[in-house]
Amino acid sequence: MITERDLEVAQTVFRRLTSSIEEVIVGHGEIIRAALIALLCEGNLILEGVPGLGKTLLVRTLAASLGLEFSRIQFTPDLMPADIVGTDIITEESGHRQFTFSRGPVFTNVVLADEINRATPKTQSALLEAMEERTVTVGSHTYELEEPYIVLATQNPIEMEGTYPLPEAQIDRFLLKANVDFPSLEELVAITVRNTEGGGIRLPEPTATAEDILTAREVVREIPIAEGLREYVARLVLATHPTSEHAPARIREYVEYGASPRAALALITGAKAHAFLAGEVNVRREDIQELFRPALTHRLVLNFKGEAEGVPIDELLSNVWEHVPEHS
Amino acid sequence: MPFDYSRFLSVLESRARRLGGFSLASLVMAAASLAALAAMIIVRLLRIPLPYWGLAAFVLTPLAAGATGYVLGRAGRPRIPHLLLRIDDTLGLNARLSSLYELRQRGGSSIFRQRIESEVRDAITEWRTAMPLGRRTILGGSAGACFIALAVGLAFVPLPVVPESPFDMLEETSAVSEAAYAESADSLATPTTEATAPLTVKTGPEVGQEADGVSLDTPERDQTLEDVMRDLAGTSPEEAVLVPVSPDDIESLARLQSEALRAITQLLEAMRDRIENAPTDTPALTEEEVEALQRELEREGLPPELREGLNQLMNRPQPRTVEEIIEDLIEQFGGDEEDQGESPEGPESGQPESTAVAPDTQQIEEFLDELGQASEDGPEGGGPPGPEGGDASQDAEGEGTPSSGNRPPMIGADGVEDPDQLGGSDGSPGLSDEDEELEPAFIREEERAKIGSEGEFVSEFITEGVPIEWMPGALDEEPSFQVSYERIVSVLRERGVPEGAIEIVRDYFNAITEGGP
Repeated sequence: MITERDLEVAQTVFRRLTSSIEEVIVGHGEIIRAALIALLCEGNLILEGVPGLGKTLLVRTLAASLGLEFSRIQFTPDLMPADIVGTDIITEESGHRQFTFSRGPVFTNVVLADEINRATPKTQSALLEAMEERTVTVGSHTYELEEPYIVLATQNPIEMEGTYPLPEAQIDRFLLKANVDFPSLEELVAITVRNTEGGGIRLPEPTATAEDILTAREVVREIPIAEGLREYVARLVLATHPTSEHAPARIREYVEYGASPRAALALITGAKAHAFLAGEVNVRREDIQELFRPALTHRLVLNFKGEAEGVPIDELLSNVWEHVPEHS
Repeated sequence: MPFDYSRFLSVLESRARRLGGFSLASLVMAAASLAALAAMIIVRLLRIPLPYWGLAAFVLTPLAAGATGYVLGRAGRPRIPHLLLRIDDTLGLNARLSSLYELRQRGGSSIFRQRIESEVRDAITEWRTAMPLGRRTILGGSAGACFIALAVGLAFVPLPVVPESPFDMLEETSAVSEAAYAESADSLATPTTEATAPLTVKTGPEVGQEADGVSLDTPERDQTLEDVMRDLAGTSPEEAVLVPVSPDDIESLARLQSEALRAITQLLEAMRDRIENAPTDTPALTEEEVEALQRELEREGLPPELREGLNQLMNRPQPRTVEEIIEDLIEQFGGDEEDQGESPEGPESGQPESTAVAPDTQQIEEFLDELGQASEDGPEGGGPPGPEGGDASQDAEGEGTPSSGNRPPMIGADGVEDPDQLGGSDGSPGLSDEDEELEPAFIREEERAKIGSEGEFVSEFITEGVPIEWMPGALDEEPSFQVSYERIVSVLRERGVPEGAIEIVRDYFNAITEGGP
């Protein structure tokens, strides 16, 4: 049962958390909000952008602000799954040798999977269970991960050399996808000031505890969403399917697979978290609008024609948004 | 004051049901009234008689359909969450009302519910503005009402009576004229019976009934000659050709009225002679004379002045007064008979113009002249006049070529009156003694010219009254002739024939002389 105080505390904590991150990260307000939404929704976030835009710094700052355990995995082509989840090793204790499970970097609260698309799909898939089930299975043993848990992955654009596109099953497990854009002139100047003046970048002190995060998650889960908006979300998701009667013409022409039901869940829970961060007590239509692209952009699979013509997925999503009526 | 969300939902659902009822009602009523309008158009076009209950059905059926639609629309269960979301969007409540509904459905208490209720309490006072009567509902209802009004209005719009074709109308008129003519001829053949017959003409539908064998004796529709002429006096020649009264009818009526006046005049003259020779102490009128006057008064169509004079005589005044009245009546009405029947000269020969009957006859003649001209100008009269019309003009000219002895006086098919019959034209003898006898041999005939190889007949036909000049031919050739068109035109102008008619006559002679001069 959520109390008035729980609501007040949760909103206060996250306002403070946002401010703390923004003291380190210049710009990228939407990226920060997406990361917090993923955290509140028990989801994962994938950040896409060219190297050097501060993706890793953002994740490290978030982890530091939350006061949670943090681990970083640099994905390389020769990275093996055991390097991520851990493996059994022979240990000798009191003259007895035995296999002992050595936990990999995935056993933490905040995982930074840096340049995740540089590893092979086999290694990338090692994160699937951790991301969705919050468990890790090695051999015959299944280990639970500690809450709060979040995987923040970064990837370079897939057209860059030496990258492996993420499998659809894995990319669908990311609640949101955020594109990290190049900073503006003012932001770039501010970045240089912060990194070259004084003692350089200092990670913030923890402003929230794991309990605060868990309480905030309960609050977000209780935020109401109208039935009409639920149907609206469902219509939006269905409209991304080329075989759906709700789909606009461009979706039918260029899309091979539309968004999964997990996208609808992501959109609704993300909208709730967005409303929470905005200080609202219910989901609004604009919350859905804000989360529409981050929740769906990585879930659409273009067909050959769409790939060949280089159709931007954001453009297709705009078609969907304009095509679907607000009221049934 | 606590926010009564349950009551709000109840009112909302009630209004939603009403709007749903109106929406479906307007749609159904528009469709039903459109169907009623279409049915009404069909009924009117097919001229199906529509009783008042049928008209009521045209009105009540769409209304009943609308009422049924309202009941059905109201019975539908409104989707409250969607209505709430619509109100939210309209009032800018950021989906709070619909979220509150979600929380109520979820049950239990929630901090969000309390907060939302406190925020929407004052904001939903104008919620009805978010649920107005739909534009489609208004349009549908308006369209339905308009369709019903059109259907009702259409039921009262008189449709013009259009004959199947102008030719059919002409054929009908011709048939009626011939029937009326035959009837008048038969009645003239039996003067005693005819003397008591009412002077009536049949107009409009009765004429058509006569053609169908239905009796003409419909008293309430009977008209006297004065009525007919009064009506015709206000009718232009162009309109007159559309009046379903044939010239034959008018002619026969004029003749019957003349006969009646002649009989009365003879009676009055006999009374005058008796009174002059009678002793002074004898009564003014004898019983036989009174009975005779009574019989004459039973005639219909007598001039009012004559009827009034006869009534004065019926009152048996003193002899001197009787003589004065009789003299006045003979002077007033008897002179016309002399003009028409006994004078070899026409009105232009110095005889006094008639006052009561002669104007009618002259009016008839003028009207028939105009009628003939209008017929020629009309769509059916655009061609040259028939040979009878040519003969009539020829006869009237009085160039020493009398009209055919064996041809009865008649009104030509083109409406041109034979002056021999009605009199009053140049050179016409007026009503002759032979005409006064009204022989039964008065039979209508038509002569038709034969043009082509039978040139002899054409020659005779043309030379009858036509100013032509014969040209000697070659040795083995027949003598040819040449028409003096200048002479024709001058004669026609002397007779007052309009210029347009002169051109028609000229075209006629051009046609029958194979190209003209």
